[in-house]
Amino acid sequence: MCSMMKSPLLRGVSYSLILKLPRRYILTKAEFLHQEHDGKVLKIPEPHLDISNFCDPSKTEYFSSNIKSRKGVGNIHRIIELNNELKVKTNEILRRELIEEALKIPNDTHPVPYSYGTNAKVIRIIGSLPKFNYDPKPFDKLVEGTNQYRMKELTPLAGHKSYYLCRELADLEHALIRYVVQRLVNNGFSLISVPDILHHQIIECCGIPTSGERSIVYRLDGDKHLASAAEGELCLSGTAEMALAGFLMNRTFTERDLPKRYVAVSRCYRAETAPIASEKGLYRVHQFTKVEMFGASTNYQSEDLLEEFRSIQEEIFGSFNLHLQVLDMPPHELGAPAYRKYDIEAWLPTRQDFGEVSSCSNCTDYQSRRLNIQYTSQDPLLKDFAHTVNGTACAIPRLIMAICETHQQEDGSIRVPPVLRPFLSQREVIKPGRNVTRFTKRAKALTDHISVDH
Amino acid sequence: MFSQSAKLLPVTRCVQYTAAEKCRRGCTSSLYITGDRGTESCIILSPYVNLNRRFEDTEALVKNVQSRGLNVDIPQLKSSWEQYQNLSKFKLQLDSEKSGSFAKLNAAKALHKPKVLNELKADYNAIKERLSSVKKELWDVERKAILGGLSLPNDIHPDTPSNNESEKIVHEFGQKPAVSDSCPSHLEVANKLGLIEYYDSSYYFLIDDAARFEMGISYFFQDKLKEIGYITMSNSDFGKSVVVEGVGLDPRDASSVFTLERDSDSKDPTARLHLVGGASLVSFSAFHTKTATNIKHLPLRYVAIGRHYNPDNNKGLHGLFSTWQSSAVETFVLAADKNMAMEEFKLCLKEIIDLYETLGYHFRVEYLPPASLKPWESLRASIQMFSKNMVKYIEVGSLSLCDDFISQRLLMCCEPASGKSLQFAHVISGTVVSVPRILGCVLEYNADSFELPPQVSAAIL
Repeated sequence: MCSMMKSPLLRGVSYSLILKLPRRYILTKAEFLHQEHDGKVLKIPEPHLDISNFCDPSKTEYFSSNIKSRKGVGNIHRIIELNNELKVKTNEILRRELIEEALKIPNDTHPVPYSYGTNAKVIRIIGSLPKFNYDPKPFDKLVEGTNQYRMKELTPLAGHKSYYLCRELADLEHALIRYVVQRLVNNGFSLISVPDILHHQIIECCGIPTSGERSIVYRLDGDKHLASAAEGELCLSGTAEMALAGFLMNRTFTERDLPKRYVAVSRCYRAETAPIASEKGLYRVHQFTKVEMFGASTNYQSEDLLEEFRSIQEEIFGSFNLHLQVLDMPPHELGAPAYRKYDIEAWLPTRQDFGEVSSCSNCTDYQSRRLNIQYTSQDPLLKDFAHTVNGTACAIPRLIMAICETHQQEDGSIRVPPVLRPFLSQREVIKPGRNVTRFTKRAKALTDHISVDH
Repeated sequence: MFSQSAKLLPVTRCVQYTAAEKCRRGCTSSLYITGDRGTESCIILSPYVNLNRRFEDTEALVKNVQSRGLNVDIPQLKSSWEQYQNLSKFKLQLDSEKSGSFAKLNAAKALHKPKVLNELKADYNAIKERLSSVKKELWDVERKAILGGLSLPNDIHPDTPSNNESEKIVHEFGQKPAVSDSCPSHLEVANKLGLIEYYDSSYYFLIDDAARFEMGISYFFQDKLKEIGYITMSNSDFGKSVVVEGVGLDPRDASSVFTLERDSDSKDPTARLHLVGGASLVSFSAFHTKTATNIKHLPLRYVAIGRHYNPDNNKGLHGLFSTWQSSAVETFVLAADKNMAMEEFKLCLKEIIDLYETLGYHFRVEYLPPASLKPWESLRASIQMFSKNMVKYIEVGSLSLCDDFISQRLLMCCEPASGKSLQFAHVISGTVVSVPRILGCVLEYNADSFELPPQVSAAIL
């Protein structure tokens, strides 16, 4: 079957190389596959971008200043120029360049954060500053060397910044997942189990670059593992948002079925580095478990859905008795896809500062235009692009850090927030345990003292 | 056999070796860095390789390798090993001659006797030359002997049936489901019930009750094992080549393990990063590599819920039976010696069987013949459920005895009472349940509806 698919694909690849164009979206209309097989085919759609809106002369000034306030990627004037040229004659190369340029234009910005300039606005404070009558210990000091945690000396064996949560800390991870998922499912969220290995175009359609120096996306070795559909490469998902968006790809909802709420528990892989010393340890790691909320709505529901996600987050994190602040993020912190974004930060006593534990974003039709997610209203011929909203319901490592630091006691034990106790056999306190397995850096120290019993 | 409507398209595929790796195949290792590569690679550990014991019964070893369908030239390896040992001894002798000669040379220097000095110098240089040629020869033999030794599989346990015996079923529960002419596949059932969105082995989604089943059954097994004293773990999903090869997989083989794109900073081509999943033998092994545990703390019994990534999961199987990514419950037990390991194996298998029985589905446990064993296993109990559509048993879980095969390679040690020397720990490893596989079987049992078993829904509420 592979060879059947290969020839037209290869032709496409060489064509793109001859034209020296960016290789995105050239082979995306995999219709020939669909004709030959009645099975499900991963078909990445051509992006549906609103070029006429970009070229509306009355909006040029708005687009330029929006681009400027959002890190300056994208060139609206080039789009207008290309569009005008294409009006005179059709030219495939120019058309593709137009699409490439239009894909770079960030989403619109909500008028409220648009007015913030470069500062985030604190819109809510939850809980109060935890008080200690002793010096609280940072998370790494609390747990390193106990039998509940290991991060030391693992780089040559399990990769940079890898870690193991053991015993009570592993139980705490599962308690958090179970508590949060149960809460969301009871709130009408639909539980989805998602793949962690994704085609790179699905990730790019979500607005996250998979190549280039600043990409934080892990890729599988392309010499070994190939995606034979299109000129695809396989990447590791950085958040279940990507897979859930992929899940909805090419889907058409009916208006009365919206909004749809989904929840997924997945492993997230991020190749980011932490140059700052305060981000050492568990704060910024390359792999972690996360519970993600994802919603699809009509164009008039997404703002309410975002508020709903935010209030769910506030309730969940607030129920752990953490000191939190909720931020409405300014334009330059939104990334390309978000229209509006809230971050929730938890107080980390030993850093004497807040650290991000979650965020939620309304991406309006940015992702759905790229992934072809639509809905029909009463007239089935009238289609519109759905809006997508995403939010972190629980990112394990940072939440565990915040809980352990905030609820530590002088003897190094940690009080478990009451809402989690039913998932931890009613345990109230996690006590540090002594490690029974000793790691030896110098292998010879082991091999020199071995006796092999036959 | 596989139904029409579930026709699949391989969107993804893998190549087994790249051309460059094919050339180097068998000459390089991530686990053992031969002397000639000492400068380009960072040595994390030296696996313990002692083939004297393996060659005590050469005939059994030849039979073992043959019955597993492996291709190792035992007589050739034996002669390389002997040559390697002789050369090593010879090199040691030359080393001491060299230092003796060097001492004499220094003494002569102090006495200012040019004639004697020149003679000694010539002597010293001759030894040095011989030594360097011996070294080169030694590297060559070392590569054949040690790397050959590392390619040997584990011994075979007496309880493992031979390849031509009939199936060795050690336990069976419930009635094998009756098969009618047209039992729909699990994908057809799941499509009809809206439970799965399946594209190919690499890309599938479980929806609502199917996703709840995944979560519930994982927590059901983990909770029950935790209740009887198993240590819960949340493991790393990545493993480096040294550990992948340490457990007995080939890190260069794309059908054995996922390899991530090469980090541009890393110089060493044999130290790659692999995606294995937290619920995997590799991940547990990385945790215990180069460690010593006091014997009074053994056995250490672990259980982990997590992902399991395996690019080669489709030997003639389809749908959920062949997925690259699975949720799984994995166990890992560290025991002090052979006897304790066997006891633990039996105990752990009994506990797993008890849990499967409470679920109520028909299953059986088979001891697999050598042809189906992985290189590190000496005995493998395969827990199997029946696929009504494929009319055959599918492995949904397994438990394996690994003896000290992995611990010798990755230096997992245990300390007996103080004063005595260290020993290699014995490892028992198993996938208690592979969720997509059990889900596939369960879906085929009832084509009209899907209900969560009460134990499974209880585990998430």
